[in-house]
Amino acid sequence: MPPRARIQDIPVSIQQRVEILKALYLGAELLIMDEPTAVLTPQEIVRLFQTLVELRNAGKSIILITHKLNEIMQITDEILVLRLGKVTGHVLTSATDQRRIAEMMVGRQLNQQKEKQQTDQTETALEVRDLEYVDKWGVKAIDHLSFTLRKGEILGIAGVQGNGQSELIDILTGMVSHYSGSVSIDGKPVAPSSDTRTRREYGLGCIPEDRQSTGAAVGATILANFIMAGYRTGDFSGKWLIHYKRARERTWEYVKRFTVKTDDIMLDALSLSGGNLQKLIVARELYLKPAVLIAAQPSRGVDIGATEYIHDTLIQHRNQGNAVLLVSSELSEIMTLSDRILVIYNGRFVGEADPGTATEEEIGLLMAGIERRDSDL
Amino acid sequence: MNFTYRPVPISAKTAVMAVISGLLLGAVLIFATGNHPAVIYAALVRGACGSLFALASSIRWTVPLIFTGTAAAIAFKGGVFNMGVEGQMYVGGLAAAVVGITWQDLPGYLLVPMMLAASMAAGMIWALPPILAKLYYGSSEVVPCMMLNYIAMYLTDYLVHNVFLAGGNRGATIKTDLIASQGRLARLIPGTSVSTALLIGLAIVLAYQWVIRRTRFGYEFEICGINPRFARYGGVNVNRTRIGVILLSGAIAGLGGATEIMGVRYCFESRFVGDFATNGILAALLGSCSPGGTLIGAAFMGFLKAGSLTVERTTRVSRAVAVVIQCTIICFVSAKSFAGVLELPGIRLWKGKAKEGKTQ
Repeated sequence: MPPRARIQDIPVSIQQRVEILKALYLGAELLIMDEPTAVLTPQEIVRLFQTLVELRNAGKSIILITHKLNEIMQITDEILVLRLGKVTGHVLTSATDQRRIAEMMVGRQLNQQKEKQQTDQTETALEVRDLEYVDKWGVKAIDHLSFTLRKGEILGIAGVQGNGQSELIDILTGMVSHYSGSVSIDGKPVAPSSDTRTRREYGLGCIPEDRQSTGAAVGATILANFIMAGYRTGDFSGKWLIHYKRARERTWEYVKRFTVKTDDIMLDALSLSGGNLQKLIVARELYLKPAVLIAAQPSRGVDIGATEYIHDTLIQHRNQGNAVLLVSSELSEIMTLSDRILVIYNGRFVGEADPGTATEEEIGLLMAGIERRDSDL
Repeated sequence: MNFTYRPVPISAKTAVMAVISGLLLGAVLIFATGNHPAVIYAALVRGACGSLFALASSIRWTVPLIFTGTAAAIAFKGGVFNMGVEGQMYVGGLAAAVVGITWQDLPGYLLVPMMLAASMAAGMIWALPPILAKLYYGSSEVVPCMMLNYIAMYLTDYLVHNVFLAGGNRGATIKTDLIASQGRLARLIPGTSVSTALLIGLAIVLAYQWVIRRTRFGYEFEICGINPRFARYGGVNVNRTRIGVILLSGAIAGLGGATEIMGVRYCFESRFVGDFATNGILAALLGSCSPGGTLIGAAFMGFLKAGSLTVERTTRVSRAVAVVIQCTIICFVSAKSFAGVLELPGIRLWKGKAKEGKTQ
């Protein structure tokens, strides 16, 4: 390691090693590493793991926080699985396998499938072909992704978090533009450069996974948060003006219909609990009845009552002939709601499953990135 | 590097407590200079609102701050830190003066709108480069804004000195010829410097209120200021909105320069902006960047200025002490946590923003 080199000039893997060296120099006995391999190449990962094994053999303790199952299996001695802030599993690595870890990560019990009406699923709502996206660290986050979402369908995208789901949503909604491949919303092709506004006008709605920073403006009123979807095209929107009287009526109407608990829509959105804020976001995104609704982790951090309500709402939206793209790392949520399931792993779809017939083992294997052999089918 | 600024609402009681704290600390300072605070504060109040003339003086000092304050408030609310109000005011003032001098023969109903329009255009042009630098090259808007202040200040001096210098004895200092008399704003209170600029200023405040309360653009730029990522996700073109915001801000700042010249000075004078820009920015911050709050902030600063001028004229205390008091008050307002300690429970002058914790 060249001691006089500037940190900004050396590769990420060496930067990381500097960080480890620093910790060791300061006499660390316990090393906590949060997603240390996220920005490393496979060769660099091998070298990092060699280092970690050496450190372990020298008597140091290491906590490795990662969502990559193969790494966990490869290097750890003991595994603790966290889900929604709770410990859902504590096992010795030698006594388990990737599939079981995946189950612990996404929830074991498979809920009853929700009652769903028959819908006409012939028309295409969202068409995605050959999507490719390289993130800012040069990692290929989305790798040749293609799928078709039909009207009257809930398509579940299952996967352990961090396998390209967030990037896929950002691409579809227009939050990132430097991708390749084709996307068309409700029959209308959208170019990578077309912005969030155009995509919304074409009939896209989105319940984002990050509701505090993307899905809402904390610091603005509940009213201001609600009218975001409809201030251009809603029934309270003029050419230049917003008809606030009608906007208030509409906000109250939706706040009541979606049972958002609040006394006053002129209060800061911060005054809402997580579940109520999420219901407000769902209400807003459904206000324009989008032909394609992306629902990303729609029940994360939301209590059971609100979760049930949001699930019913998504199904109702589907029953009305709209399409829902459900992206979730909760397998039970995916199984409960979806008409069809695609499993994403490392930015690629590794399999498709029918929620009616698929078993948890089957999907768990796919989520862990273990390819199905033909003999298994 | 990316400066983002978000106006945080200051409650009325915080503001009141800050003023009281500032006055108390000022009293200590006045004692230290060997004077009695009561005498000084009496002079301050007398000078600010003791007579019609005092009141007119306060209004005269408030009016420019209404323009600079609103200009700053709009920018801050839209998430753009327009530190270039000063430069925009200079170029706006010069543009208005040049028009008012050049077209001496035009009737007032043409000349006045032309002068106002010229000042707004100049202010907008001056506001544009920093935001473009920010949006397209990722640099902060603050540094270019401040540099453009210097450029405006010295460039207008240069232009006046070399091109528009007044003839005769008036040319001894850097100022232009007088603008055409029909291009001057009428006096609202005869014998004082209060002109219809006040009405223009109040109209601007009302228009600002209307824009944020009624229009789509107003909604967009407020949301851009609060959470740009949410705005973009919701389909707002954040960059375009920010350009609109700073153009509006620059136009109002330019207008402030024009009204100062058309209503008070009748010619462009070197360094006429003085502390208008800085105090306007402070007025906006004191007023949480809301239209009404900024107006109150501007009036507060204007009255303090008029009062402190009287203190200087009629007592042995220098105006420096008044400035110190003024600054102390502003420090107390910005040091919210400290002001919070001083807050008395139950004092609410008007309905403040609810700050309730999360409720299930």
